[in-house]
Amino acid sequence: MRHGQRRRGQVIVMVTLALIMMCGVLGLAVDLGWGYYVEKTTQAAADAAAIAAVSKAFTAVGGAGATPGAYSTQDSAPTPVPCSSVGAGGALAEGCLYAQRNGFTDTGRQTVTMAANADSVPPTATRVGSVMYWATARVAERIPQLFSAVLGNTMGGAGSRATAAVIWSEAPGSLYALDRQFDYGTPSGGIGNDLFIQGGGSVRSGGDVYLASTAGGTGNPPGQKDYYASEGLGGWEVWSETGATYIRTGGWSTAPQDFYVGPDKVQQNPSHQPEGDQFLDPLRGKGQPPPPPAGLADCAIVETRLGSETVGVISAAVSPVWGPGNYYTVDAAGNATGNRLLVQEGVTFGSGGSCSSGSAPRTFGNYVFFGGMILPNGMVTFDPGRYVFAGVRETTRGNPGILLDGRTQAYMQDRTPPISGQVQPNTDAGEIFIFTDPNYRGGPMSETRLTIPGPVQAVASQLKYGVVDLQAGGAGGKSDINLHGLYAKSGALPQGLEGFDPVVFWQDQRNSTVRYTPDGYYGCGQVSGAACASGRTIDQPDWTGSSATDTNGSPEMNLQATPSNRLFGVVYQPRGAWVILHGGQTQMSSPLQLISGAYEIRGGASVLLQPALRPMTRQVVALVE
Amino acid sequence: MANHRQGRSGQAILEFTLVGIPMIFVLVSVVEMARGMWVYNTLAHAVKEGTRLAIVNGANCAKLPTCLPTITVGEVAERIRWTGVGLSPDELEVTLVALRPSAAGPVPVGTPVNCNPLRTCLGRADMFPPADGNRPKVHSVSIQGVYPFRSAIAMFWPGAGRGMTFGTFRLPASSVEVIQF
Repeated sequence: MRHGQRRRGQVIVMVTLALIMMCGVLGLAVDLGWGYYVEKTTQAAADAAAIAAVSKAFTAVGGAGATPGAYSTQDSAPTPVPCSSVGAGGALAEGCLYAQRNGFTDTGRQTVTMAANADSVPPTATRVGSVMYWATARVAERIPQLFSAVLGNTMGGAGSRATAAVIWSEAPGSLYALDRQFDYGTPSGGIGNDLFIQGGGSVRSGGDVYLASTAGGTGNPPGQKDYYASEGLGGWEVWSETGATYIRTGGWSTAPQDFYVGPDKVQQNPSHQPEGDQFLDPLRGKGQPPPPPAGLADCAIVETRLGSETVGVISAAVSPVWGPGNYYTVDAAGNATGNRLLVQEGVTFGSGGSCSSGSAPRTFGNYVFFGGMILPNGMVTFDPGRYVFAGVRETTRGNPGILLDGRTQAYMQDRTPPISGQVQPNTDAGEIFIFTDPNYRGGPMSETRLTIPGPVQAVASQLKYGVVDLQAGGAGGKSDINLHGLYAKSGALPQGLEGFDPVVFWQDQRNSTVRYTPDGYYGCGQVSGAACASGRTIDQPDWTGSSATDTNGSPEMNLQATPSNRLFGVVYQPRGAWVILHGGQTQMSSPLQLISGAYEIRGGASVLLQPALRPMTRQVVALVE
Repeated sequence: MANHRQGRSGQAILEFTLVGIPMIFVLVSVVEMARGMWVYNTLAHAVKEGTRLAIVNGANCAKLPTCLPTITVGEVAERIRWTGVGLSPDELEVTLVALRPSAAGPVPVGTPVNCNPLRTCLGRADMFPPADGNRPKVHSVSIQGVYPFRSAIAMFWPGAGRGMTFGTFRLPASSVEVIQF
């Protein structure tokens, strides 16, 4: 009996020990597993909160066009503050709201804190350096333990932290065709055509090629010609050496076998990608480059008759260096006429002085040319500066004039010459040519108007958008275009232009078939939040004219690709515009990024877009930790 | 009395045989299931942390002088090892791959990096994601991990015994995220 009595308690002890061990192991699995799950949800909440807070501030200051210091008016809390004490309406409150939507509030067992600041280094992500704005969200929850409580751990915890910031993001493409399947396309390729190559031309790019049209040869619009996103006639090719060609899903090429990738030139059909960031205007949200400040000198040029055209001659004989100012033609009585300006060989547009009393300190000058410009032949030199071409008379009613008319054997150069034929990066402030009309608006939210001098106001309404026509190719291969885009780090750029580094040509977004918002987004359907009107989508947004084919002036740019067209930086045209690249003896070879609605390559032009040495960037909101 | 006690002692053995063995089996099963869940949760957490490290150190980060140099395969592997508490780097197999979007879904860019086992990737200095798969907001990072889980339950399997090794389950976990920065 005694022996049996002693054995009776053993089972209880063994079972108890086994249960404790089992609870411990179950605690490891269940409680730890639950902890991992909670941590995952806290991370999602923290990510959403941080991005929401920065996005709120980003939108409030005007998006990607914000200038340094713009965020100083936004919520600032360098050290974390609990959401329960955050006031309504600001970036921090937005972050708290998103944490709440993800299931976390600053009450009970949950804690949510936010920190944010402008123009400083995020304390939890110091490696990103000083950013324009950052926000850090911390989300945590105390978790009651089930099985682990047996071992004495009654409460556990899980938490996450995320930091988002406004950072600069590089655009990876060498060629962006923004037109969609219902847009104007190219003159030869038709509606929805993004890339039309004829006469054995080619595109060879250092980066990606993006075509946003889904035109796929199935009759677009219905009942009309079968349009393609990419079409070619004769032997042609598109070769992306370090990237690939991407067409938005649904778009097709007439000859996908003519696309190549890699340094070894391996045939690869264009890849289809769904709608995404890469098919939107890469400079969206920046608005437009601000116009020159008011107060430029009036440079009235008395016109004269040359051949069949009456022009105002800017002559090297009068002055070899012409300074910043508002240039326009006047008649003998001094009245503005709105005729074109003809720049003779040997003229330098210097960034110092004004009008015919110019000097060339090579800093940064502002010039506005009303009525258009002719470069008949010979060398013209451009100091770093902002060159605005503000309208030209129509040739006949409804037919656009030529806004910048670079004729055969015209030479355009700046202060950064090529070495052994190779384009060199500029260290000066560079040039930006803005093609527009007298009603140009730029700067944040495009609130700054171009100042029209008093004498020009009488003819301003007659000056319209026009064609940019640089037929620089000439016999003997002597012609040359060598211009460089803006360079922010030069230290000489006026405020407001830094965000447009490295644009060299900019066509007014208003001169497009597609309506843009003042901050540079499509009229609807993009991240600006602009809602589409009834029946409109991002593929069929608001047109500036009566339809997609109403070209509203002439959003066309003709660039002679030969013999030496060297443009460094970015040539920008809005969606709905198009570039025609003409061929010739050799090739256009530049570290250049092209952005336009569509491209037409004629006459066997060989276009080599070298890898961008200073690619364009835009401000974006992103997680950095 | 003596006969009665003798009969009861046999009963205890019978009861233990009928109840104890299944109880032990259940106990071991619970413990092993719990251990398996723990291994899986840890593995999932580790690959997620590795992915997170890669997506917030992408091409845009690499352009900043304060961010340089670009994140490497070795650093991602180290993060997985560090966060995978209890997982042996000599047994954990990890595959790192950059993805690009396509109409048919994400497709790999370049050759996937196979860390088989993870220890072989510790200290590797090659860039991840690779240059042609490192476009923020466009490309994604995918990390897949597989960890062998050897369960003691296998020893209860009919036929277990001499000459048979324990059953091994290969627990998989993966994480895919778009490159942010």
